[in-house]
Amino acid sequence: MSLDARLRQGFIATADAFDINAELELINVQAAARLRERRHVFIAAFAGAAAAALMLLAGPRVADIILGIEIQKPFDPAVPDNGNDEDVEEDVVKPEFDPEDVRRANELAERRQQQVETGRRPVAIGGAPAPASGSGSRPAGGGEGTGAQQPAPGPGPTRHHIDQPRDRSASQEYRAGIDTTSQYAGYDCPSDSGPDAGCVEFQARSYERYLSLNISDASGNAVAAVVGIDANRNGKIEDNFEICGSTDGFVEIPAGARIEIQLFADNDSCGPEGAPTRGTVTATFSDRLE
Amino acid sequence: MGSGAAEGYEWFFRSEYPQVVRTAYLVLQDKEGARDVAQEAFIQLLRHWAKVSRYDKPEAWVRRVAIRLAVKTARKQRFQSTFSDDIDVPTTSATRDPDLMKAVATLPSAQRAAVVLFYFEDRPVSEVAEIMDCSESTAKVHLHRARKKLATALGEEVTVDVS
Repeated sequence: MSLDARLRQGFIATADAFDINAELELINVQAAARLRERRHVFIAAFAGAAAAALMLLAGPRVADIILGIEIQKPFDPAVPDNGNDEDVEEDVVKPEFDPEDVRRANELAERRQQQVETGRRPVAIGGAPAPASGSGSRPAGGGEGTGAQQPAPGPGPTRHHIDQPRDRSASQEYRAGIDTTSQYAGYDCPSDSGPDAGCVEFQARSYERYLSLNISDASGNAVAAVVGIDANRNGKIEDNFEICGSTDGFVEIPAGARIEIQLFADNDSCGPEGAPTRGTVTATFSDRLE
Repeated sequence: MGSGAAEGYEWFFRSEYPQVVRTAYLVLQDKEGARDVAQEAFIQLLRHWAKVSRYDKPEAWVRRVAIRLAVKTARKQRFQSTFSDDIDVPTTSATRDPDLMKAVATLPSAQRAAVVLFYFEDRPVSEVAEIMDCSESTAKVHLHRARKKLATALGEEVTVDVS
């Protein structure tokens, strides 16, 4: 037998031994085709859903990248701050202020603003006239003066405002001088004294540690006076000094002290021209020397 | 797929599937592998039946797909057999010439496909080349080398070359 004949017969014999059920195979093929078709549909649907989800999740970031919006980077302490952070305000260590000082500064600002707007005597918080400081048991001779000379500060206790020297001026008119020969001269003003008896007083605030005084009579002449300091505000003068017309700049006083000024009727120390029968005392307080 | 097309596909399947699966079996010498290859070829035929059914020789199309898959599978088997040293040769009682099948199993997959198409399906070289998607001369070379190896393995003498 030739090789060709052997190949033909061998192949046919081997193939015929393979039993094949075409009907069953047809069913299998059709079922497999349907299953594959469904799988393709499912895969296509899943791929579509996955693509949509990806677009939803990554879309904004992709859009950010495309539009050139800078993506926020994690904080790296090694990278120096360029100072452009919008939230830099949060990093600033703000100085701590005494709440009482802030409250007083607010009060002063409001009163000055009110004074500028209305041109009237300032009123204290709550509507009552500004109280004169003092021992409380005796009339203090009016409130703080009307001689505000500073521009009205802006609204609110801003940091800028707090950082500036806080000066305050107050004026009071007196209508008589005190008799230097009286038993009170150079000491405490009597309880029934006041502007009409040659005594005026001022109240320094808790942050005011320096005082400047200017005293003149109705003609503008310098007037001699004794300045008493009641550091504890208990009605007793602990310290005093004499001036002629004005202090030499600011003098240091205890913060929050009560200042009592006795105007001499006989103006010996300031010369014969002074006639302290009527005049003005202007006190300027400050929290620092600048 | 319409009912007419479905009927045409089923008629075609009944007439061609046994021959295709046997051809694949002779190439692979593995019944399950042959069934898988034939099923895959006819599944693809079902997907493209509307177009393939209008061809002059739709049987050539499905055989080309089946032979390509069979050759691919045979190469994998051959690669795996180099490690397992185990060639699955049909050794059933119905195999009249087991030496022949063992010799065929040693052939490269493309040469195996060529001799199966030429001797089992009794196709001319031109159709062998068409189904194997190669030129006629390439098909002739496959056949020549296959016959030469088989003659050597079986102790036969190669008389005339195929034409």
